[in-house]
Amino acid sequence: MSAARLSRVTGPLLAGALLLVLALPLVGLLLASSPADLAAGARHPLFVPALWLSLRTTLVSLAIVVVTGTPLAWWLARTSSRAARVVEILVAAPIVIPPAVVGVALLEAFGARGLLGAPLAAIGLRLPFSSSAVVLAQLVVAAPFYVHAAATAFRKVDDDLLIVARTLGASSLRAFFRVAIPAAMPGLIAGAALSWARAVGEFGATLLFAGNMTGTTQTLPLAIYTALESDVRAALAISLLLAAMAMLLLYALRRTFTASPAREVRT
Amino acid sequence: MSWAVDVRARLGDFALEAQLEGDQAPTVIIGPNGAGKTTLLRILAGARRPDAGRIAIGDDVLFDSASGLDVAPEQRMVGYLPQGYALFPHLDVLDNVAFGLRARGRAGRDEARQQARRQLAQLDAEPLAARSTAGLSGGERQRVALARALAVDPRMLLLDEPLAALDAGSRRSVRTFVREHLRAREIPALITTHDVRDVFALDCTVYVLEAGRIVQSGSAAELARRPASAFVEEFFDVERSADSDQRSALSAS
Repeated sequence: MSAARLSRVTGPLLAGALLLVLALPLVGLLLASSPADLAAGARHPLFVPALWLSLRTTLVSLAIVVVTGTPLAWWLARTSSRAARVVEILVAAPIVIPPAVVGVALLEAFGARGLLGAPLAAIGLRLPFSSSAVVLAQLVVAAPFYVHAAATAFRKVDDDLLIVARTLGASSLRAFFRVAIPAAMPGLIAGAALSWARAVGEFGATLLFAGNMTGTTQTLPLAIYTALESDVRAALAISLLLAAMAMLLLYALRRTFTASPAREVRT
Repeated sequence: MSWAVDVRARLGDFALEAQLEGDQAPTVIIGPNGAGKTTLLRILAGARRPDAGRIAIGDDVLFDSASGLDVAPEQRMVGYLPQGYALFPHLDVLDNVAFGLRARGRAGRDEARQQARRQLAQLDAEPLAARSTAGLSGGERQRVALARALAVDPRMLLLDEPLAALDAGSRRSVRTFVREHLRAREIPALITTHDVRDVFALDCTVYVLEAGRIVQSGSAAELARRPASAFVEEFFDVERSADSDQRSALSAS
């Protein structure tokens, strides 16, 4: 067999093997449970509290990420200073640091014996093992995804759009809200969606920093972990729900992007 | 109305030092790529702050380093048409033109749209009103950008390579169109170009900007007769060689 022929065969073979490994777990999840099993799983006492907690905490953390991450991303996109590059690395760190390490780090920062433990205790705040800790853990692991996507989207906004807006009478704030934000919107939405998906799936940092208490800190991924020990049907139901949410999100994002009008072409 | 610019600016390794002035007739800047033409227009628009100098339109001083005056871009009343026109991609044509009227608080949404429609009509572009900017041709973009800038009654227009993005066919009609409208409105305009035909079509004062400095100024005829640099000589030589090409083509037929 010639080298060219070999590469024609091995390429697709390798790619196919990867595809199989990626798709098989999803198929397995789909085939594992009957509708009756799923209904039973959804009635499990862990299910509803975890669903509620996940929705509540991820929406709060997403709101905080968007409100604080948007100005940060704008600054990162518009500044070429060395400080901005350092901040960029800092912001990206939680993407590469293992979630369990983030959990330990959060304890060292906000825990009773952590950096801010004493000052927080003085004002009557005890963060670890509370719903606020869940939000904080999600915030730290999810924010980098939004900030990175938003900064990339803002960098693509043509300077001239903003200059023109200013010369037409818009203040810098108005130019930001009426031109920069709408022009970057597809990227901002994609970033927010990715960031939310990461927050929904957050497990390691939450387990270490917030614990695993039903109704207070047990989010859906933690509920899977607990349910696996008692009722595998509940674990399957939750898993299927999370997988469906993720796939729906992916589908919606693709639709948004293919439906959005083509960006203005500069010639 | 007369205007005068005298600015110095340093951007990394690049230094810009330019003095130029004009009246309500258009003024053209020519120069090689990277000479600082766009930077100069952005300084006038208020998007970049020069290190020193003075910018005045009529009696209004927009920038004066001596007194520390630096008028914000939104208060300069200067219309800026960048290369590629920078139409707002998220707004349709009508809302692009109405943007300035809304931003200046001169009109509510409906009133601003009515005024924008009239502005488009004056430039024979009213049929474009409901279009998305994505599907416009180069010439149509040009008209919309001009209508958007004119809608807020600027005291001066800055046009950066207004014809560079157009194909050869629409260039001629747009050139005539720009010339007529600038003349009719008597708004001072500063236009950068790298096309010698623009210079002759506009029949105006020409400044030559090379490596951040004005090396020559005068009418196109003067510059063509006594070019002060190799760039100027070549710039006007293109016209001559194009002419001779045409002549030889005619004599051959």
